[in-house]
Amino acid sequence: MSRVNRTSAGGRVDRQKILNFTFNGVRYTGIQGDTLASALLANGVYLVGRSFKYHRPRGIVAAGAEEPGAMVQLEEGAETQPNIRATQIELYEGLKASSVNVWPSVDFDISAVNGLFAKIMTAGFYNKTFMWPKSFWMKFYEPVIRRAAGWGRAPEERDPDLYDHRHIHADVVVVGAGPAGLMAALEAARAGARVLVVDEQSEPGGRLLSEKRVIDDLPSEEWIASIVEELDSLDEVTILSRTVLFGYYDQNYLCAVEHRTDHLPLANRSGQARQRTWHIRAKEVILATGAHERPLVFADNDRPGIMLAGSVQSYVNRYGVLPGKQMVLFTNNDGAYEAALDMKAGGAAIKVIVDVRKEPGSVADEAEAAGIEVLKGYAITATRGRKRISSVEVRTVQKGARQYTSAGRWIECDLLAMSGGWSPVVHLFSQSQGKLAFNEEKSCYLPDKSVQKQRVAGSAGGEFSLAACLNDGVFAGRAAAKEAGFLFKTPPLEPVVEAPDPGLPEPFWIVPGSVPVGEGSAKHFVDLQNDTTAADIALATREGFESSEHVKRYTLTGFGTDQGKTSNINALGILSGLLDKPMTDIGTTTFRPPYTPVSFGALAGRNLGRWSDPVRVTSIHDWHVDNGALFENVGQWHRPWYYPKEEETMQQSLNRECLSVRKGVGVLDASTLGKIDIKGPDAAEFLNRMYTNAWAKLGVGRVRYGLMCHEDGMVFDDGTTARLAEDHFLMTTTTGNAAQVLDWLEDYLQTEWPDLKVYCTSVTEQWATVSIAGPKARKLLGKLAPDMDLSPEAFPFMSFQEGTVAGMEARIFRISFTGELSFEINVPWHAGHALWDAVMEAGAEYNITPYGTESMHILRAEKGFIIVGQETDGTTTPQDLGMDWIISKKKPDYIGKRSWSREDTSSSDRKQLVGLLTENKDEVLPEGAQLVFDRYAPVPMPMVGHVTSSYYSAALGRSIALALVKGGQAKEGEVIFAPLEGKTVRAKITGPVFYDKEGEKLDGEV
Amino acid sequence: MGKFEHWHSPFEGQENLFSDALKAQPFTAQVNLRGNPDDGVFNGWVKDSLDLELPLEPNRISEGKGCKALWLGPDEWLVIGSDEGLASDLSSPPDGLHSAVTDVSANRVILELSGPHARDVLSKSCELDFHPRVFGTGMVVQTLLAKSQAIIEQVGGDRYHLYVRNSFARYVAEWLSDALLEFQ
Repeated sequence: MSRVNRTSAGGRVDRQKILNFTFNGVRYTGIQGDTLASALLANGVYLVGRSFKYHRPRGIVAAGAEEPGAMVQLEEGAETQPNIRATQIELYEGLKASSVNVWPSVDFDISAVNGLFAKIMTAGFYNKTFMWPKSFWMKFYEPVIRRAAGWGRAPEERDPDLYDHRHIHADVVVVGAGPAGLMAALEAARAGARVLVVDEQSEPGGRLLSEKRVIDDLPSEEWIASIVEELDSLDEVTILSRTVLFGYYDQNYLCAVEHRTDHLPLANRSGQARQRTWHIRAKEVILATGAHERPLVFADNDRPGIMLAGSVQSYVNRYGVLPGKQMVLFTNNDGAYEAALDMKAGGAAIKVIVDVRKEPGSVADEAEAAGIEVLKGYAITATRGRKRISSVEVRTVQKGARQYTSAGRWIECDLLAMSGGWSPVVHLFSQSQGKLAFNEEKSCYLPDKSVQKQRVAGSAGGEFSLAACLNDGVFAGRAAAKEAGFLFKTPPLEPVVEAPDPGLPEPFWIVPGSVPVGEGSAKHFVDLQNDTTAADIALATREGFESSEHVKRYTLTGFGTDQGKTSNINALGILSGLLDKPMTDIGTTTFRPPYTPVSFGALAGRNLGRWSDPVRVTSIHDWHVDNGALFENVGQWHRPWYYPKEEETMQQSLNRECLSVRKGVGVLDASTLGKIDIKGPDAAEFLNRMYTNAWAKLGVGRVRYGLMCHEDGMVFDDGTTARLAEDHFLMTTTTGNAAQVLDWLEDYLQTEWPDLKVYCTSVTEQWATVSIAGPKARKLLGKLAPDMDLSPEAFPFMSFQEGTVAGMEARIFRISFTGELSFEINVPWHAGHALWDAVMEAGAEYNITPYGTESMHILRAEKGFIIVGQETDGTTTPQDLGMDWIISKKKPDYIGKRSWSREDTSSSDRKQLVGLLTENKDEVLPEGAQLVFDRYAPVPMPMVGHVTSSYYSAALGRSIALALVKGGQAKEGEVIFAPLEGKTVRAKITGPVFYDKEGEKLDGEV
Repeated sequence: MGKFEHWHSPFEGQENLFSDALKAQPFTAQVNLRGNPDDGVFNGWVKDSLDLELPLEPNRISEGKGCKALWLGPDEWLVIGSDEGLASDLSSPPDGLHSAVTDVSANRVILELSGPHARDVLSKSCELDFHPRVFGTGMVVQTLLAKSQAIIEQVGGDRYHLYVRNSFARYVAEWLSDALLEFQ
């Protein structure tokens, strides 16, 4: 198809570079510099989609981020993206796009029948229509509505593209590279500030790219180039084009997404991040975000070919496209006249200019001088044309009338350009918690109270003439740089411009037709994306929704992906008229991030899959991998879970691992335990206050188990601590809590007890720990440390020694988490692998068996040892765990003590730790199973506790479980039930220690 | 018996991660030092033992003979030395002095990130500002790097030493080598 609407010259496009693309399966060509929207218009494609609710034909309305309707499904398969605005897609070779919201095709859409039922599909219709019968909602109404209403399709395949994040810091961040932004950036940069310019378009210039202007005797294109050239030459300036600043958060923290490859053919994108999220920290921010043009609200104002006047001007001047050949302009302001003059210059016929004002400015005279008919004090009251506008009806304005009874005149056209004035883009200002105020004179919301270090410049601040924008930018740039600490050596820039004065609009929020708004079949659309009409807003107010926030939610105005960029102000204007309240009393709704939609990929960056969270491994990790270990995550650690041999089931592997510890010797990589070096004359006193038991009298060379509680008396962490010297301890913590315990210690040292002379240093990763456990552990260690006396007398339980193990200097702790004789050998982290190898080699004759965390859990459960976070959940006291023995009665005070006299914590009916033995010894209860005393109690059954740990114990030849049960400590021997799906399991309550209750195994083979 | 005789770096077998821009550094003696810098006895003892004035200004380093001290906090420094016996140089504090000397030679590994894109890579991995107006040679900071706790020291024009806990070392090196890809 030929490009029927392309002008012969001019614009920011290269007519020599032809690009092929397809839309809805039809092949077209565009040129370099086109957007998908401009290329479609160049090819005479006006109908691009169907509306959300009524499936009415819709076309391209705008030329940028404010486009409410022309959204497409871009590309196919894994690359597909739904709901991308055609106005923001830079055309590239081979682009494929299709309409959304259409079935079976955009030309013939079955759901357009919705339009016939329009009367019942008014505001709030979901809530009203589909309430009965209730059971129909999930099965019928909801799926049907969703299919009819939904926008594009999300990709179903894995995203093939790369995304990443970067952090950047600047003295002055300028958002928007239009005339105000460029001036601000240049001033701040000349002062020496680190300047970051963020601009969403493919090149700097903003609105200037669409208008023919002369600045400092240069055509605007050349002027822009000269400013950009100087900015580029300065080392401390960064310009990010194709970058949308989508979020403005506290303390001048801003987020932007840079579209790095979206404008390239698919084949040229690989190897680079497609989109990059920038995390920006700014000393000063200048919002030069420009303004969006407002539509006018009149009867059937949604037909393809009805466009914003400034956007029409963009298409003809910037893209070299005539969006129509027979144009009508409908305006309430002087500025829009230029669009008609530019279109005329581009070769279009201007049928008529319809101005609601009786006395427009001198531009009307210029238009008339150019031979254009200007209808003053007229409005458009009806339109015709099914898939493209074909004619408009004009009548004289009858101020205040509900309907215009003046004579109608039909005028044929193929393009209706409209302008209701301009709305400053205050979204980011509003996101930054700045407050807006309605300005009566300019009839728009303007930034009022700022709460961050920021300035608003140019039309974003209500300065609509080019000269004012430039000067505003100069002022803002200098002020921001000065605030950031920079001195000026150059005088302010004084750009000289030749530009028409756009004047101010005469507010005209709603144009009735020959019948009042809401009567008859015509629709006055306010929000084109959500199909909200002026009648919907009237209905909302009749039903009592008068606050702008309520009207927004009831009618969905501004709820779309365009965030109401073109609709919010008109909705508020109409609401003001309906309630007969001035705009200043209406109040705008709040703008929230993101400014435009951001892909999930850009938000995730590289933090996906293997990068999603740090993976921590020990120095022995490679051995575990090489020897077939399966791993489990413990916090960020990857710990060996168990080591299955060929053909072994998990349980078979666990049985083998556990029995080897009970009968021979097993080995565990315990390097992940937290380790804190505690040093100072008050170290023992400090431990006395942090732990529940007594530490002052612990001898040097001895080790003690300790329990740590929070102030509420609930168990927080546990571990063993060794006294290395009179003033020196080494504390161990659970793997998952290492950092929290160190924070906890530092918190108390720094804020509560700064008088205590104690230093804490994390040494978790200074030491690798190889734990050998089993009756043969002493024999094994004896081979590796022949110079040490390992006899029970010389090296008793709960003591530590330094010595040489396999030629390495080591600290050896004789502690036990299994109930068996156990030595935890610590060497510097990097020697861990060498020690492990030596242990495995020396242990071969005892059939040494590596065991993982699952066997460790079974072995400790057999002994009734708790695991913090499994037997405890932040509501468990030491007494609940039957650990009164570790509660000091003599120490005057320590953390947690004061809470145990509370009525709740001292109750005898608390959930307490018990053991459970199932009646069927092969039945392993699921962990987390709820427990009841009365299996026949009516549902909901009174639940009395839950299973915290449950395993099959090979050593005992049966299942065992630990549980927290109400008053359980007094119920030993009683029966309890676990009602499960399809069966109820009966179990007996026992003490929590199942294996070697007398502790006879602790010394192993002597 | 040499201090590092049985030591193996977490980067053994990970050579594919490294390049001119990212290199693993050899083992070095590291000591975590705690003490009150307002206490003349403490300062004098450190100066006598290491021939080094501890940096008191936040985020600075100072160099002594064969060793340097990195400021980690108002009463905490990381002392790096080429001599394996660094910890023993500080093993005998004066009687009554409250201090803590902890050998942490095996607690962290050191990566060197260098070259014209070193700062770009840091900006993909860390929230802090490493612009020369803010951060320079002789400065150090404790922060998160690739979501992992790290100490970052600028050792020269575009050279940074990254001190990373062993368990995070491979994750961080993989992250950095990935971040470098676009510049290679």
